[in-house]
Amino acid sequence: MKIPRLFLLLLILILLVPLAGQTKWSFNLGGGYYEPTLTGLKSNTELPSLGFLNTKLLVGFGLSYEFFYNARLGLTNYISYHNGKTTAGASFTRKLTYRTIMLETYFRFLRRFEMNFTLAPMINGGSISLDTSAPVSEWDALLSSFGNSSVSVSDRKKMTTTWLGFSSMIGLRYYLLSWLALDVRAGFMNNWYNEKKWKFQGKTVTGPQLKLDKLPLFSFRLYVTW
Amino acid sequence: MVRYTVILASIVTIGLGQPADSSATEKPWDTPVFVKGQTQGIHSLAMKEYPVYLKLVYQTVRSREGRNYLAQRDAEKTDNEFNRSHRFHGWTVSCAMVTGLIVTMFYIEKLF
Repeated sequence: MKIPRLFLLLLILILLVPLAGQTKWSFNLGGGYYEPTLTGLKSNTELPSLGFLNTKLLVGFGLSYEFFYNARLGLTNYISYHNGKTTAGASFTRKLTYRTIMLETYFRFLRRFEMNFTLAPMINGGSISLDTSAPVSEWDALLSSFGNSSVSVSDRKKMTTTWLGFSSMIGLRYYLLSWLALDVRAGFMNNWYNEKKWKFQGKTVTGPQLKLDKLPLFSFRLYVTW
Repeated sequence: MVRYTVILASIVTIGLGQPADSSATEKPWDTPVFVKGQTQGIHSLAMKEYPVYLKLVYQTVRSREGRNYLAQRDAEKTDNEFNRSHRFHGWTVSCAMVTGLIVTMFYIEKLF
């Protein structure tokens, strides 16, 4: 079914115009660029190869609230995602999530231009999961008792870690409309990542070696305020 | 049959003869619900007012005059925001200066 363009335009306007009532909350969507050294993942021949998108590019979203004249508090995240097949054929997924609790102050130096300054402690997380599929003897015994042949049983397990970090950025925001803005920022993030603090099935294990401290960080986001 | 026709015709005549409803001639963007939603935010609207507000928004967006009104409102809001935040208030300047200093120090250390 083809939806008329005018109808879509009207629908978008109807959905967005009510947002223009108040500019206290803002939702953002976008991404970032950074240059980590993912030694433990890059040198590992078992894992799928790394490219630009899953190494240096981040995607993310966030929400903030203006609690004072020139200040906002918010939660924003950046996600680095990588998936593929290992050499053994298992489905592999790796995710690094950088979560910032940001305090942002800003001022408008021109009618539509804003300069903002962000200080943000971070609580970050990493996860690596493998989706394997293999015959399980107990299941095979049960299935064969019903007259079945061996069946591969899928099993998904995940190893996780958490670490603290800190980020600080200076940004420039341009308001296309009173409730819609484009935002670019430059700054850095520092992470206190420890590869010896991964958890797998309740046990502490060693994870991949990653160099995530003192990283320049650039972000580009679209803001909707209401 | 004739009787019913006369009754029906009378009802229609009386109905058409009613004075025009003043709210029908009022512009959608001048209605109290729309003004409240635009000036005080959609949080100020009661749940039952949301459908009415959305309908008014639809009617406003459909007309050229309504779109001009919205553009004018948007410009006013941008001006208000600018007047409200073109300079720092209280402690926010300290926070901005600390951030500026930290980021500058980081890049100086990184580059040199």
